[in-house]
Amino acid sequence: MLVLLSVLVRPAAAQDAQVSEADLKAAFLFNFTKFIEWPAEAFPREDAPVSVGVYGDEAFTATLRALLADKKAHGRAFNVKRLVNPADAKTCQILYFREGETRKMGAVYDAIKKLPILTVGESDDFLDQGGMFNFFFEDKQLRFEVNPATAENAKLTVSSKLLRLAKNIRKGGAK
Amino acid sequence: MNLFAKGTIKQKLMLIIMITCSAVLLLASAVILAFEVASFKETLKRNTEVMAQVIGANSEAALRFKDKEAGKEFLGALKAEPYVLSACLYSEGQVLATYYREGAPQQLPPPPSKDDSFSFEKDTLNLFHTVRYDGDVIGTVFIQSDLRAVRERLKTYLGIIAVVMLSATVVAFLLSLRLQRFISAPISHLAETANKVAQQKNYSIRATKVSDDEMGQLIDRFNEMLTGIQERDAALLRAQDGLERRVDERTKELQMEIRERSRVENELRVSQVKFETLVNSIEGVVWEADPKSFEFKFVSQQAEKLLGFARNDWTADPAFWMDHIYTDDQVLAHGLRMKALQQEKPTQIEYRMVAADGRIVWIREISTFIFENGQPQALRGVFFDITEQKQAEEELESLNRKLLESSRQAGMAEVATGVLHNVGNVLNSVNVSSTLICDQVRNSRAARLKDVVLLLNKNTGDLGNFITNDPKGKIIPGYLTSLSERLSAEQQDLLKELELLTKNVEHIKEIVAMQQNYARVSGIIESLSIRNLVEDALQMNAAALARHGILVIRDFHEVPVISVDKHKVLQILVNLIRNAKYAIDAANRRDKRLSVSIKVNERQMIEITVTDNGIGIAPENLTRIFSHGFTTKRDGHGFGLHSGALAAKEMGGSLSAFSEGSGKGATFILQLPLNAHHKANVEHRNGVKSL
Repeated sequence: MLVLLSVLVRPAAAQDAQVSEADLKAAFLFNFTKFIEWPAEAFPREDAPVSVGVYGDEAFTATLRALLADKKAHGRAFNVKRLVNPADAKTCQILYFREGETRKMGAVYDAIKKLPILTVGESDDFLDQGGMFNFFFEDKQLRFEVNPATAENAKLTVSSKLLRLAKNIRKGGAK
Repeated sequence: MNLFAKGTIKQKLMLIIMITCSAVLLLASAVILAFEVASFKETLKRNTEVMAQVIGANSEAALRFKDKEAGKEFLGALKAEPYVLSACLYSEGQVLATYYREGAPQQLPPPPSKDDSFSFEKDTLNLFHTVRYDGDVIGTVFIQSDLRAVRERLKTYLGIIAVVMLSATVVAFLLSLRLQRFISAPISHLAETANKVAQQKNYSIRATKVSDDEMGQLIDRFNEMLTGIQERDAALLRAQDGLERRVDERTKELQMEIRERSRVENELRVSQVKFETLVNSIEGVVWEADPKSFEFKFVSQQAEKLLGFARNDWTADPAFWMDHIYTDDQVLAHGLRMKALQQEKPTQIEYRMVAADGRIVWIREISTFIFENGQPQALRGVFFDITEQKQAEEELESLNRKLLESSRQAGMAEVATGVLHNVGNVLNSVNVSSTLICDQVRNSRAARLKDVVLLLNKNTGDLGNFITNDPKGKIIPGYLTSLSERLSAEQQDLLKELELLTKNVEHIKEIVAMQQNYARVSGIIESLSIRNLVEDALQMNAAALARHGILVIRDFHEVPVISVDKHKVLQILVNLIRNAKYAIDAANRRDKRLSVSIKVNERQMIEITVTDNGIGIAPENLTRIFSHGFTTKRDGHGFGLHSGALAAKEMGGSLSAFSEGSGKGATFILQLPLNAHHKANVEHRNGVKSL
């Protein structure tokens, strides 16, 4: 509980003051898992953890791993791993693309567009690359935009509650 | 409950109905109201809850992402709910977003310390709803709802209830006014009837039964009760009548009893006074003494007179009686008393006592021992002073002796008087005869003869002429003829009278001779014929009877010869006949009859009756005629019948008289025994002899 509180409080406090960008994004990512449902065939086993693949720096990966270490979504634990090859994308249920790795999104898009894999990025053209959720800052507030069509294609169910929080909802599919 | 102490049944019934109605209505209203309020609150709470849940659900993402704008946006939806005063979203204890209705105070309660909770404040409902997501608490929704609407609603309800109550009360009043009659009318009727009965005391009034319920039963019982009372009244009246009658009767009886008692008491008092007076006035001492010691307990007033001792002296000295008995009589008197005690019967004893002044007083004591349960309780008696009596007895004794002497003399006198009486009777006739002769001789016409002789002497010269021519001389022959006739008649009368006189004188001679004869032969009992004796007696009076023209009727039956003193019988018979003659003469009636009969009567005695139709005997004299000295004749001496009765008795017979009263005649009956032998004869003869 204390851990939970500390986890929860820390991003909230960070939101106002020196909460790091990575922490915020990690918390948002975790929150996304609460409002998104994966089809059963997305997981190899009943109790298989949610695999989170990060295309980006090790620091961010460590931050995310730390945050999700003892958390669960839909009864599943998280397994955070850093990815380099686009080929590794298929084994994950969540793919995070750091700003510098955005073009990998375009690379794996065709391979995973029909697979139930949530894709989250942080660059202005991430949605254009065929990504589903994209973080951006507005008035120093972390926001996100979404392309529900891509999530739909991937057979992911995105809660309307989440959609209502989205700052921008992209109409139409990827490029 | 005091409400029910007064007022009529009607009022009470209505009151009950009204109170019941109101209470029920109030209770129902209160329940409904409470339920309404509760359900309103519940609804409000539920609505609020739902709102909180909706907001919570909607805000899940916003809470997760701490999206204040989104939160505010979600809360803004509460504008559609007018009862929501304010709302707030908390995320991790921090206010994420707030909502205030326009005009509502911008105040927020402190963050919730618990999970879901709600609380009704004065005007608000504060509800906290914890928002969970996927097992995590992600925030809290707070909604404050306005409760003033409840109060508004309550007011409305109360108003409705008041109106309903008012109209219900009116309806209940009207209904009860109409319906209570079914209950109260029979009761009122019964009460009125009971009042009427009580006021008029008329138990014939009946209540009318209108229903078959308890009231009907009550009225039935009431009527039955009245009937019962009536019957009891009647019975009571009858009993009272009877009682009054009985009381009256008893009162009368009592009055009579009281009267009777007072009369008896009065009589008792009178008799007591009488008794005391009697006791004290009695010529004797009434006393009571102890039966053993003979001590006087009581002596009457006369005791003081008897011996000269005060009454106290009698009762004070226990031995008064014995001490005052004459010494010679003490043993005798005591012995007599003791004997009386043993024999237990009244006794009469005589003894002498000594008076205070020393004189000796003869006492006659009549005393009785009073026994109770076989024991002598008292000795009661009377003392009489018989001193005088004792003296009188002594005097009487000497007097008797003298009397015996004088009676002997008197007996001789009686005999002499008898003779003189008989002689006197005849002498009467003699006297009459001689007087008659005297008168006749004195008035004789012989004197007229002298006148004729003188006339003839004067005319001696011319006697022939005188007799033939002289008017005086002419009547002389006739006169002489008549005179001679008259004179010869006179002579006849005189002769007759002289004969009678001679006869009377003869009678006197006879009487004297008879007296001498009887005196001589008196007492000699001889057998003789009563018939002859009666004829002798009639013969002795024949002249007188004839003179008075008395018809003598004889009715003689044959009777046996009896042995009697002839002289006595004759004397009686003469006397009876003479009396009869006198009575007949005195009656002065035309038919003068004297009946004499002889017969043997049913008692086997010879009965000689002499009956006349003379003046009779007055009843009061009937018993006295035989006593010595009684007579109704002017010149009688009252000896005849007395001596006659005496003589008849001496002969063993009787002389009795009967008369139906004055003027009815009288019958004298002499009875003589057929065989008369009486001792008295001897004595009498002696008496006669001594004469």
